[in-house]
Amino acid sequence: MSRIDFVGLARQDAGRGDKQTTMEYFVPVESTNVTLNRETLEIQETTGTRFPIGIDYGTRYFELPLTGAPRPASLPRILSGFLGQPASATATGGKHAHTFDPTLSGKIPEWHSIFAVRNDPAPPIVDLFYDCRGNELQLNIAPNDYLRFDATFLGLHIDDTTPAPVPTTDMTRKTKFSEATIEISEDGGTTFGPVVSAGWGFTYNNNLDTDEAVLGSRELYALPEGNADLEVRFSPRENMLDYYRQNLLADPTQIAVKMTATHADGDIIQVVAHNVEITDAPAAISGADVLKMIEVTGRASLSPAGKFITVVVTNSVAAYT
Amino acid sequence: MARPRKNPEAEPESDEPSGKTVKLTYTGPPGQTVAGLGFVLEEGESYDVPEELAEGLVAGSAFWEK
Repeated sequence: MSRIDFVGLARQDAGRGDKQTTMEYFVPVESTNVTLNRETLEIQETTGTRFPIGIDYGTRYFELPLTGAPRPASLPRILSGFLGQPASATATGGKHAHTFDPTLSGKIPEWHSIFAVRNDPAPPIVDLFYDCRGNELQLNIAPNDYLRFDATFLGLHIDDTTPAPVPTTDMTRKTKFSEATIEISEDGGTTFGPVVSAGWGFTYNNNLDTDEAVLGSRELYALPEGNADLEVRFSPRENMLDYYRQNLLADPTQIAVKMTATHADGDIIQVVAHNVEITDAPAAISGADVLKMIEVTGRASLSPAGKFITVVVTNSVAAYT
Repeated sequence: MARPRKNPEAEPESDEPSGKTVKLTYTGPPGQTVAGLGFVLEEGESYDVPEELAEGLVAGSAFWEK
């Protein structure tokens, strides 16, 4: 993709089949390498010749991995494809807080339509994917970098006839590393304390089931969400012995991990994993390198209070309908 | 081979700006931009948009109204 390309997203209000040609947010991305995942029908038969005979196509779906730096206005539209619709409330300073909690009733990955337009060739290559749901979502942040997302949608259909719109691009400010802080809680999320960390990230996976082929159709019958998984990563540069020892305990301990990114204009992106059990905290010995951080990896599980992950985006948008 | 001559009576090509504008109202959140307009959009504001862009904006974005 080059700079004149663009990607747009819209929630399908009426669910599957409700293709949207009018986008809500055009999201700057670094790349989206659309791939077609297609079954083929091939049988090796005795034909009296050693040369191949033709194949047929079976069911198919599309994979749309969007990578880039999230913008506060459009991030909730991306998140709704993974975590369901947010609950929106008025916040201080004329802002609005949008809270995503996939453990609440009815909070399932919303169906989206996604425009992907490559403007370098003439005529342009224009795809409108619809009936898309979010499968795997990553947010990562590291020193001297922006907060970054890697959001993979799976799409069932493509419309190659709708012309490209004129994009209205979300240019709200990206999140810089210097605006982000990491905190952990050892008392179930009651109190949090700061951690000097050289990085943070999570990977949330809806494990959408793509094995939904049925007779009489080359469409997948459904794209249901499977079991949710959440991996959390952070890299403390203090108390490294403690994190290393925690990983060696006979039984895992539970901590809550919070990332908060606060912009100067009052926009906030906050992610809380409520019940993280450390699964890896290596302390490598290397004659060439200083051991300056422990890269902690944890597996999140449902907390005793029934919480898993909560994402709150505070911005200037009143609601995401 | 002679190059085809441009007919001076012909209609201007469709991608040439007409200079005409259309009044559109932007109802989306602040902080959004449109290439070619040259400013950051404010919620609820009306803008004179080149007519070459207007149709694509209204068709493509939920936040533009005529």
